[in-house]
Amino acid sequence: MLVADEELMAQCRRGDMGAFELIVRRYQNRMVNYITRVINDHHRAEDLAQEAFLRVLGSVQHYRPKGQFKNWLYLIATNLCRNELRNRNRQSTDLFSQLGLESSDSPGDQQSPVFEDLLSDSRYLPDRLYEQKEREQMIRQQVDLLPENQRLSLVLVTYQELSYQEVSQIIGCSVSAVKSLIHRARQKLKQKLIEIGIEESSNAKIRVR
Amino acid sequence: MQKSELDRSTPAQMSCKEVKPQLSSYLDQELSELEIGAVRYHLRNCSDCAFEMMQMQQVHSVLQRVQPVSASSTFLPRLMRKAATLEPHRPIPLFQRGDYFPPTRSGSTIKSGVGRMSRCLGWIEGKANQLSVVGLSILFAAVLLTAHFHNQPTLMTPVFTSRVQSQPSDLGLALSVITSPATYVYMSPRQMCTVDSPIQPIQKQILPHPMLFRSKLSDQ
Repeated sequence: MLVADEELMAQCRRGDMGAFELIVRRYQNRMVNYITRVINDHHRAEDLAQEAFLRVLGSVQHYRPKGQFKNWLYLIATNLCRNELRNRNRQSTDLFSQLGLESSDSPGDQQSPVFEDLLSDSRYLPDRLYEQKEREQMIRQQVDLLPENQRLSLVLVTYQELSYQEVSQIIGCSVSAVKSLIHRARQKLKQKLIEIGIEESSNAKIRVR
Repeated sequence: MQKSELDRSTPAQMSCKEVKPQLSSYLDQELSELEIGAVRYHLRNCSDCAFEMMQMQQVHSVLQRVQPVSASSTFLPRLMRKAATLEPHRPIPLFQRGDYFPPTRSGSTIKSGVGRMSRCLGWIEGKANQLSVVGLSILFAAVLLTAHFHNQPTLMTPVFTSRVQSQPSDLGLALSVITSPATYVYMSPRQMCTVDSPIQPIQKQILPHPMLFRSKLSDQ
């Protein structure tokens, strides 16, 4: 018989590390998959998923089963993702400001070393990958370009198969706002996929060029 | 049939403008039975919205074709090693803060004082778990008895609530404090200083209610 998450948390509260291990086994793949889809970095996603589980363990004494444990875990992971994206944005801003300063210092036609590093990064050259990987990479990149809340709600609904009600609790907005976020995310994604080479044929199939 | 005519003729009375924002929810099965029927009827009769719906389904299936990512085989061992290095697992504390000091949004002096002191008790609770409850009880009794004999304000002066109806002896008083912590609240020395009165001996501070206690001190 499957033991409920809340019961496992109660055992964990009493100091049973076996119960904690069972929770981790139950959710580790879902957590890593969710965070990877949001931040688009598998290795960093594993670190953040570990951090999420450690936070669960750290606050197990204060845990009160008001809602589902799963939603609480997703909430922790979502907050970690938000922090990660915020830090990443700050770093990228620093990088571009650095590029701007260097270009203003040396206005000649020489490329800055930072630019050369970016251009030589083969991770973003999909023509070297297989078709499937190329397509997945393109899709991931387009999802990555979505605004934060749109991306979070789309990933939670599409890959984690949560209801709009659950997503609204995790994101911290109303159900109608989640509806709107997902609709706008899909509309935007549709346009982006068409722009990068996914087109509708006469029978309305979307194909990768 | 023209599109505008089609919109007018639909019995569910949903126009394209109304249906299009609902398509995502329709795809995720997040609409009510009534809405599902209305959208389905509209899609059967409007090729424009049906095409939009098909595109939406295609986007959804393109997204779902992406292979799921799993945790690596070293994920669990690494995590359990980190968990073992965390602070040792605390047993359930004997006194739960929330049981005695429920969260309140009221801004009254007594309640906000209780809120502040409940945070202070959080620290004490942590120490209590380290030192053991017996050790804390002995320390508590020593503080109370010292305060009584020296007639001086202490770091935390207890003010008794209505649960203490009678005035017990000094020893009984100290024991009642130790054995039934739910029967008193704490006031900080700063709060005590706001009252223009010297701190009375503990025995004289036994009053039915903290508010009454404050008003009585103000009168003096």
